[in-house]
Amino acid sequence: MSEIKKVGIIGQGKMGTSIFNYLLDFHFDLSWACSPGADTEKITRQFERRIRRSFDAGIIDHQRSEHLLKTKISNDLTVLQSCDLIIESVPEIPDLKRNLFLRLDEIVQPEAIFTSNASSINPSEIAPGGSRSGKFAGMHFFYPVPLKNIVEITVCHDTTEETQKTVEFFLKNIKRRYILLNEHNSFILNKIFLNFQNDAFLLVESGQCSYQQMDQLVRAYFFPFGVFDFCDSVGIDTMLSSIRNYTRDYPHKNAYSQLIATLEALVLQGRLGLKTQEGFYKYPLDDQKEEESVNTAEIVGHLRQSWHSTLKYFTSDPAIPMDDLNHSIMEYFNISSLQF
Amino acid sequence: MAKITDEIRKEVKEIVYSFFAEECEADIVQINENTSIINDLDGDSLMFLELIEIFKKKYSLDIELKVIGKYAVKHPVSTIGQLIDMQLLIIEHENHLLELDH
Repeated sequence: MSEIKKVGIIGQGKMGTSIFNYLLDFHFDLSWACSPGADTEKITRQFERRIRRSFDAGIIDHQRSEHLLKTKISNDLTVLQSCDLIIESVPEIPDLKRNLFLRLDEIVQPEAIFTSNASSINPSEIAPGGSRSGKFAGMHFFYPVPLKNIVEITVCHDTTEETQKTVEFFLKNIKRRYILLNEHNSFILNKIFLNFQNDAFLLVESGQCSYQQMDQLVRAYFFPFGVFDFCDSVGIDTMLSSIRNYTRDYPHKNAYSQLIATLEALVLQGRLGLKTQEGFYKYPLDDQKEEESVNTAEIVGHLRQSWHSTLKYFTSDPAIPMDDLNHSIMEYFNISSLQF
Repeated sequence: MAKITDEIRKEVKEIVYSFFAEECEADIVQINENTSIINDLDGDSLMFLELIEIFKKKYSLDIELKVIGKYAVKHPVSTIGQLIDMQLLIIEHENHLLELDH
């Protein structure tokens, strides 16, 4: 098993930044490669201020502060050259990731392990091939990393056991629990939620309640977040591409066509969620409007049924350790029991 | 569990204001309790987490991030004033924060 000392993170979006900041608490040499258009001077200034604040507040000592200030932040991928582990977190576009890994394969030392934080693209679709094939895996963190103690490791056919063990050891070192998946059951947590989201969506479409009423019911009876405000928060475009990827090989993918069509329409209208101030909702949210009452018992009963049949389906895979899966589901949904 | 005095209240307010002024490269005099962290300052939840670390250290708080995360999901924060109120609750109640909802 290789020892990970130098870690390179690629991408300065929400996830990339969250992973980078989380890793600052551990003793790695970090390099952060930002996208070509990113203002790395500003990012570096913010980073240095953060280190100084942590030092001033007594959170880190002088030695640690000096070590962290050696972190390389650049638009240039060559800062990753000597890394032992790469964590890619660029937008969820297969070609973008694939081309990036091909370039990295030429730049980064041959022993380095490449991982992708992709949330819907399997490792074998973006791995650079050749001698790097065995050193490639999915490592899907959840946002925000310090609060979500779960990571999905996805190994593909070519991933070597040594790579898998090294990634597992790395996650243990950084105090994140993980669930080990393969390309058939990858992204299981998002897929479980997708089934629930789709059923909630179909109930709204059938006229049983509004988006807002559905989110209120979901928050009251199931999870601390709603179905549609979750979509707005993640981004409608990201949700759309993820759902397309998840359902591509589903035998019953037609069940999702209405949801996909609605997301497509929102994207065409530029309603991408919170980042454009409009998605399923318009932001800032108006005061709650008076709405017709709904049949709570019927809707909640339907959703309960959906939740339990989804769980039954996804937990029937003997390849996934039940304890890990149960923990992952509770962590993902921020719940303390799987029973509603 | 600390009792929130006027002094702590003032200190927390000063730390939050100067944190956001510096982090978001904004003029401190333009920040007030109604300033939106996301819309006006282009801030995010990572800044919130850093502030929590600072307050944890400063007041020797016994609180898990997970507890704050659960509370924040039910009580989302969007303005500087709301953030200060939540920090004060965290200082006052520490790991007992979720009991406020019972």
